[in-house]
Amino acid sequence: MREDLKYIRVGIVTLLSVGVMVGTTAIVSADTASTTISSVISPIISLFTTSGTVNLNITPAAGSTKQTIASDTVTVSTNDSSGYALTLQDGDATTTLVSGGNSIAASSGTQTTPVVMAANTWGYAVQSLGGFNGSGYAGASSAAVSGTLKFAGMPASGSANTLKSTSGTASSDTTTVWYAAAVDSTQPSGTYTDSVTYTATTN
Amino acid sequence: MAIAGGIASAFMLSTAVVSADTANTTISSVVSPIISLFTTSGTVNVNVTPAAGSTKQTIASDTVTVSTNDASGYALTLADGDTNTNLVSGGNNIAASAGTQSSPTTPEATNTWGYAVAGVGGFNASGYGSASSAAVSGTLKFAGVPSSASPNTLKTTAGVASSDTTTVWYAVAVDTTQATGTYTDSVTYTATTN
Repeated sequence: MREDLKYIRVGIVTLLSVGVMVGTTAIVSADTASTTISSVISPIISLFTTSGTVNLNITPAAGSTKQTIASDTVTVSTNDSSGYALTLQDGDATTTLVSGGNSIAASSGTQTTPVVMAANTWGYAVQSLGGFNGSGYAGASSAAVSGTLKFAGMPASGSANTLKSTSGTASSDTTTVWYAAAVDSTQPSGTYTDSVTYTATTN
Repeated sequence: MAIAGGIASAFMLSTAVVSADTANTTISSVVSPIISLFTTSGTVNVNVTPAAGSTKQTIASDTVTVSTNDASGYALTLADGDTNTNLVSGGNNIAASAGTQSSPTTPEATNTWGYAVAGVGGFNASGYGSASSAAVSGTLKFAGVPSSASPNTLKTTAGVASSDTTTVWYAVAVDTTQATGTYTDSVTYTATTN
């Protein structure tokens, strides 16, 4: 009798197992779930210049105006696919080169309407930009003022001029900025300085 | 909602990322000092016609003009062109005055020559009007031009100069014992930025 009950219990358990297997197969056929993988690559931009100081040293001469031209190279890299804008402005509201109580005035020219350097002024130029010349800004030390090369005065901080606008990523994209100072023998000797600021901003 | 919140957070993160860079460059211009000097004509004629029984003196001037952009100014010196401080005419001489810039002499001794700058050292402050073959002044003081190796400083300034002039007076005093002739010497002005 005990043996019989044992077989009967096994038989029931087997029947129940079969029933569960049949029931599962019949109710659920498939299921899916989707996950979005999101990675925001942030725009970054870097900017550096050649050396941090542009030297425009001049030895004046009696009876003439001497001019020295030298360049600065601005290098920009960005992964922004919309590109970047590069601007230039003075580091403060004083746009003259200063040596103690003496100064060399900023050129009266503007980026759109630059002028040939006047005596005892300084300025900048970016070849082919705005009204600047398309060529010819080779460095010169204490040479006679060029009768053709045009320069503009440095805008005060807060009124930056745009030197370049791009529309794609940039890898070590360079912009050459030319600076010039022109003096005659009435300009007191000394070391005249000013600070300018380049800013590169992603579009 | 959880997914939407996550996306919103992602955009906020993008906005917060700095996307500009700046660099400063110093523009430096060294304007070198220069200086120029010129004199009136290159020759000062101090001609004298002696007179018996007296010493005649002629005074004439030279104007030295200096320009410099040196903010520290300049120094102007005077010296003979060489070590012979006499006026020379062949084998004859007119000796340099025995006076010095700090202690010039008066009256100018017979058969000597000298220089003066009004207001400098021990020189008179005024009165060096040009005179030709006049009697030796009893008050105007002159000094001998120093040898080439020992220049005297005539002026020291402290700022830029535009055509700044210095008048240097020369005098020759002779009597009839001085041999006739054209006596000359060369003096050197030097202007040096400070």
